[in-house]
Order: sequence, then structure tokens, then C-alpha cells
Amino acid sequence: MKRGIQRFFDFERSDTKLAAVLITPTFLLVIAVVAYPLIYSFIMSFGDVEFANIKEYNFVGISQFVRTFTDPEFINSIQVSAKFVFFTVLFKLVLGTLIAVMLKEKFIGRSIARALIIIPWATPFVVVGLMWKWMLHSKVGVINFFLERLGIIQDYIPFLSSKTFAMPFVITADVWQGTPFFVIIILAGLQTIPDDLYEAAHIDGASGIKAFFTITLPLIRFPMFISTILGTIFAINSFDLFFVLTKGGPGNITTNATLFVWNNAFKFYHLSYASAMSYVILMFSMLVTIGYVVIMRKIQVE
Amino acid sequence: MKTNFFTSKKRKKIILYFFLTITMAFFLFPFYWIVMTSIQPKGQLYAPTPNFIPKNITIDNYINILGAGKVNIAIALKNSLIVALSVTVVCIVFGIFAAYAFARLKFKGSNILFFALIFAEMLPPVALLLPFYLIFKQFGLTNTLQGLVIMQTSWLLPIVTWILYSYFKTIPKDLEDSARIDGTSKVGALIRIIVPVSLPGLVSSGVICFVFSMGEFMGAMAIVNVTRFHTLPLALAQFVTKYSIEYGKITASAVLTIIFPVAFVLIFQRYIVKGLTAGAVKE
Repeated sequence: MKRGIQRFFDFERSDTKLAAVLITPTFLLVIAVVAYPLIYSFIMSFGDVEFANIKEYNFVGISQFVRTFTDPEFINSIQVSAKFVFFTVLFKLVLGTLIAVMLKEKFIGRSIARALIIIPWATPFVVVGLMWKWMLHSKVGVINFFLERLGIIQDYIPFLSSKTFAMPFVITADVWQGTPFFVIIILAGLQTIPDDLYEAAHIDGASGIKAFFTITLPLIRFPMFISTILGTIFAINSFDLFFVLTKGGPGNITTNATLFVWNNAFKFYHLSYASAMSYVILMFSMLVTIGYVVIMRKIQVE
Repeated sequence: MKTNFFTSKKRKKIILYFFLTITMAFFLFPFYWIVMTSIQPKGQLYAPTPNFIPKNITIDNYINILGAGKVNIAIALKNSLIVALSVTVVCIVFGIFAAYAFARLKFKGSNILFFALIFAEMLPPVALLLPFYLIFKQFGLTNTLQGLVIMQTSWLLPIVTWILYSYFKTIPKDLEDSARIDGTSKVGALIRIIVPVSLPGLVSSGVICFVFSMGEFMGAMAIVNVTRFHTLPLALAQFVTKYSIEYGKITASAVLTIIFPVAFVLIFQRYIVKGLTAGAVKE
């Protein structure tokens, strides 16, 4: 028996045994907390379980999935998510690239600026939400104060309960939090570009904006691409900001898919329906991830 | 004349500083503003013209929220720190194991398992939450700090494994081989050679775990609903939705919430950049 144990723990001869021991804790957790729930909610989505009858499960086929595609509220929430993802990722990418280019230049206080720009990324979304909620306050908000002083608005506006402004300001708060991540990734890419490339281009008559489009942009397309994909996945899953800033309102103008599923699961307890919807969101995320893997492979082959 | 405008170094510097100032103001003003709000007496906050320079500074808000009130921030702070530190330690230890196996050992199915890990990371959390809640309920893990640690660890382990994997890959194999020739075992080489050399990678993934855990909200809200086990984001959200008039106290709580993550990020800034960009930049 003792010898058996000793032989099992003899890792010197076989990599497989040691690997098995080393990856077991990680995979046990991932299976318990990711794979099992996935199967659980898959089964749930083919039933008709509500919180009131949680012990009863009747198989109802794909009717919950049919419901997702005919429910105008769910379709609305998908549209809200799409709008949010598109604008927030676009702004983060453009701003992130411009700021990264600025922070690559030599100037006094550069290392301080590079350090400070990361702080929003370390700020929890709940804090981001309440910061902006306070700054956007309809009576004493500092943003209303600035806009009025600058003559842009005549009267204070309750931005977060306005149909026109609620969504743009949720996006603004998200861009504020998420741009630093893009800056970090893109700046790291910029730093791998050797200076002589620009000097050579300068001699050829390409500098400034022209050099940016002909040299910089092609060379940072890989980090730009990665931050875009990751940013897209973060944005699809965005929840905290919506919850704190608007709770989905006014009406359902800022109810994104994640918030809608959350409400159905934990507020109205439509367990089966929520599971079916979460699978629809999962499919969208998977499409993004697969696109990511495919293009990554392509870039790596190059 | 036009080319002169763009090539002139001085002009370029001025333009650069102009946009830098706007950028830094945009990203830093909100922090200044919540700190300012948190150190002012209540009456002053609702004046028609906001105060941009501190006046009548008070720490009443901080004293208030740390005492036993409607929302107890002291308990939430303690819970958050316990959870975040546990998550960080567990993730680092298990992450080292798994990353070493994937980076250095040859075994069947390693590619598929590694892909499965990345796949798990990309899943939308909201798709997992409901079954999570029901399963945790069965095992008595709802409304416990252990439940929070298990949940967050499972979300972070794939990313930690990925960062450490990229890091281990950059360590030259000779380093390990020479130790192995001297008779060190594989496990010995991992602990004595790989781990010390990868300290920057460990620090960076540690801080990422800590920051994520301190801010995690949706999952915590799903499995915790008693104040005693509230973490900081839960306590803050409750503050905002229920007592939204008390912005002095709310911002004071917000400042306490971000102090630790922000301090760690500033101290370990260089490492974090390395960790976040692992794999994103072609070497």
C-alpha cells in the first residue's frame, strides 16, 4: 500500500501524473461552478419552472426559446445591448488609441500620467455608477452646473430619467471606466514599434498624421483587435452600471439583455424563461469568442 | 505655413499638453469630486453653486458610516477584505499549479483542456447565476463568505492561469534543466526556480484578482441577501437605492471602497501592465 502511494507520487517518470494532480483543483472548481450550472440551466430552459413550483419540472420542448424570439421586451433588451456595445466599444477604441499615442510621446510627468490613467480601471462599477449619478444629479449635479455656466443648457436637466440622455450617459460612464484598459493594451503595442521606423518614414516625407496611418496603425492592429474583442465581451455582460445608474429606466430604454435576464430570474422568478434567455445571450458571446479564436489563429500564422 | 505648423516642435508640445490636460481632467475629476463631497457638511452639498475648493472640512461622514448605522460600512469593508484576500491566495496557488502543467508538462488533451478553460472565462456570468444560486442554496453556501470565495475563485482562476501560463512560457527552459541535472525534482524546480522568477507575474495576477473581487457585484447580489455578509459593492448599492439623499455618506463609503484597489494598482502599476498585456502583444 505504502509502496503504491509512493509509486503514484513518483512524478519524475511521467508528466501526465503530475499534470493530473496539478490541474485537478482548477478543473474541479470550473466543472462544479461553470459546467454543472450550464447543464442545469440547459435542462431548466426546456421546462416550465417558476419559483412557486420549483419542485415540479414539466418538459415543454423549445417553447421557452420560441418565447424569447417573440417577446418584444426581450428583443428590446437585445437592441439596447447592441446599441450599448457598439458605441461603448467604438469610443473606447478611438479614445484609447489616441490617448495611448499621446502617452507614448516624451513629456514631463509621463510616468505619473501613465500610472494615474489606470485608476478608473481599478474602480468598481458600483462606485463608477454612484460617482456619475452624483455628478449628473438633476438639482445640484456638477455636470449640470458646468453645462449651464458654459451656456450649453438653459435649465438643469434630469439626465438619468430623460429618454434622450439616459443611454448616452450610461455609455459615458462606461467609457470613462473602460478606456484605460484599451490604453494599457494599445500602449504596450506601441512600445514595441522601433523609433527608426519613424525616422525612416520622416526621411521619405511621411510624418505626423500620415505616419500614424501608414506605420502606427498597421503595427498596433493586433492589440487593438484584442482589446476590442475583450471590450465587446465585457460590454455584453455589463450589469452593475445599468443597475446603479438607471435600473433600466426610464421605461425600458436602458434595460439591456443582462439586466432583463436578471430581473426575470431574481425579481419575477421566471426560472425557465430566464434560463432560455441566458442561453440566447450565451450564443451571442460564443459567436464573438469564436470569431476571436479564428482571427487570432490567422494573425499568429502570419 | 501649414507644414510649419505641424512640424514645429514647440507647437506640437503645446497641442500635446493641451489634450493631455483635458484627458487627465476627464479621468481624474470624478475622484476629486467624490473626495470633495465626502468631506463637506451635509447642508453645503445642496447649495446652488458647488464648492470646488474645500471649505468647512469635516470627517463626520466617515465617522458616521463606520459606526453602526442603517448601512454598516465597517462590516462590509471587513467582509470585502476577507473575501478578496482569500480569493487572491487561492487563485494564485491553484493558478501556479495549472499554469505550470500547461506551460511545461506534456500530457494528452492539454490543448483541449486549456481551450476549455478560456471558453469558461468567456461565458456570460448571468447565464450561470441562477443555477449557481439554486446549487449554492442546496449546499448552504448562500449568505456565506465561503460561497462568495468559491464563486469568485471559479471566475478568476482561468484568467490567472492564462496570465501565469504566458509568464512561465517566457522563462528559459535551461534554467529549470540545470537545476534538474543537479537532482532537483520537478516539483522542487517549480517551487525553487519558477515561482521566484515569476514574482512579477504573480503580483500582477494577484492584484487583478484583488481588484476584481473587491468590485464584484452581480454574483454577490445573487447569493447574499443579509446585511451581515454584505461586501462593499452590495452595501454601497443599498445605500444609493435606499438612502440616495445622503450623498456625503455615500461618497465617503465610495472613497473607502476604492482606497485599497487604487493603492495596490498604483504601487504595482508596472506589474499590472505586464499582466494585462500578457499575450496581447506579440514579442
